[in-house]
Amino acid sequence: MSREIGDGQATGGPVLSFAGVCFAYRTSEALHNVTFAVPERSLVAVVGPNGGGKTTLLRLILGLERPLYGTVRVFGLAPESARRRVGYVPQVLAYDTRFPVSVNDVVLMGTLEGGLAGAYGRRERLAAAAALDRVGLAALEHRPFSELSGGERQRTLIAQALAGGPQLLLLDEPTASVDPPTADRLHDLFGQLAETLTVLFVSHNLSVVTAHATHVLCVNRTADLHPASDVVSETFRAAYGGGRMVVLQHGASCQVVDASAALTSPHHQCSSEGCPQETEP
Amino acid sequence: MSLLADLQQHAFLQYAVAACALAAVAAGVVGSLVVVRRTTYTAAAVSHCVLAGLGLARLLQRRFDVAWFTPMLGALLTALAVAVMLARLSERHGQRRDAVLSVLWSVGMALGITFLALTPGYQEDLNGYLFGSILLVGRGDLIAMALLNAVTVGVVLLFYNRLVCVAFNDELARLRGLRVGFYEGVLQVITALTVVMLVRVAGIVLAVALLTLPAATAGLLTRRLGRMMAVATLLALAVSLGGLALSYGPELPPGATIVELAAVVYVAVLVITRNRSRGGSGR
Repeated sequence: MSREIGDGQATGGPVLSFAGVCFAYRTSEALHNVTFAVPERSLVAVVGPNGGGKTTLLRLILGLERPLYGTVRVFGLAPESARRRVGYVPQVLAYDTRFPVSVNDVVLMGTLEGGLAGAYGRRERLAAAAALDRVGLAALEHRPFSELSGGERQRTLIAQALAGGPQLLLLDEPTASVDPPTADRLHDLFGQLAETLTVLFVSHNLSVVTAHATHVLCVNRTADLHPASDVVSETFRAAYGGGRMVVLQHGASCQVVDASAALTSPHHQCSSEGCPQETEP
Repeated sequence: MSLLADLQQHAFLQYAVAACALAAVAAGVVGSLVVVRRTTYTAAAVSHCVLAGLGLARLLQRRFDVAWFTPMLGALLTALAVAVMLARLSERHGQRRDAVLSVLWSVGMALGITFLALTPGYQEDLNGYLFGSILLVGRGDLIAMALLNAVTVGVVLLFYNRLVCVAFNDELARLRGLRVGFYEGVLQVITALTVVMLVRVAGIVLAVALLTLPAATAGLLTRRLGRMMAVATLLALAVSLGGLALSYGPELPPGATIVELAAVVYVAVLVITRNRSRGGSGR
């Protein structure tokens, strides 16, 4: 299997592509001129400082936000049209942990589709059971969601995303609220999952990034995708605190900390006023 | 003078018991959804707005001889109108939801008071509307309540999985392709229908207590929404019949007694479950 960036010839195209994407919340630009393409069955670590645009990037992939300029394509489709092929695990804090549902109830929600009404059928129950098995929670199927530990809750949400049968899985800081042994197990799981689907996970743990990912997507208002083999581990500097935004430095071409040159460049698809909105291919 | 002894002789008591039973089902099922979604304040606003519809109905009936416009119909139309307004409001960001709810709440009551003041005749209605008049429930009310119950419970059963998903996490629901706005509208409408029924039993001021207390109590006892609905229904039935029986002898207001009993049960269950979980954590 090729690990070349943008090389998706096995299926005729990348799983996910950004072309000249700019995005702003009101007046502050969150992402500028982002262009990359993720090949099939890669395990991509999304790294960068807080506020650098990692979650925004995931929301653009999901079609929850629309780019100001440029194009996002998921399986060659507009993000909204590709949603059913995408599994999303938001940060665990996004959920009301006291909500009265069982583990199985939560996982079954991942099988819901657009129809108006109806009960879960045999197919949905089998998919939920398989997803729970995959994350090692089959024994906790009937446990209330509110009684789970942080790691179990995280695995439940991963099972929920898997139950829908995704081909692309997005995880927003999946190991932020779990202990180190659980985080290791989760990363092993992501590695296994990447054998059959494409996985993007946001991480602050740089040792994990080098150990597991096939690609690293550096996001700090700009974004650059690198094969993990190009990332020189000696140059990692995990200096998140102290007001510095050094994330990692690799090769001669990409330094996330110094994005000033990239940020002053014009939008790819227009350099003057009167730009068209999102450009369709 | 006991409720049981008089029950066989008086049709109005039989109607009151039937009204309690019907209201309990909707209070348990819809109340659980309202409690887990943390939207009890919305239900309270709808409840208070209902006075505008009740007042308008009385005014039209007595002053303009529009006999078909019953208070129940007025309450229903107002509650639905408010539900639609709130559903549209939640689609728009930037509005301060709590402020809008307070405005609806107080303007609804003001309109109701004005309508009732313009209504000729003895002003006995206002008290009944505010604090409940379960002993005045008639056959027509019961038929309307049975229909409302069938609609609310039927809707919940039909859409159950999707309503639970929207209540649990609306973003997840949207990503799964569910029409979140539609289901939020459905939740608003069934809440409004339930509030109308509960207003008939406990009155405008106390209806939200009957919607909230049994469901909150059930939430302490079970961690599954389906079971919470069942337990809340049984609790609502027990406290409304119990409250009715307790109030009957000493001629206390039934609505208030029902709510007080529901509160006592809630506090008792809260204390017991707290102690039990403390004992459990010490192990």
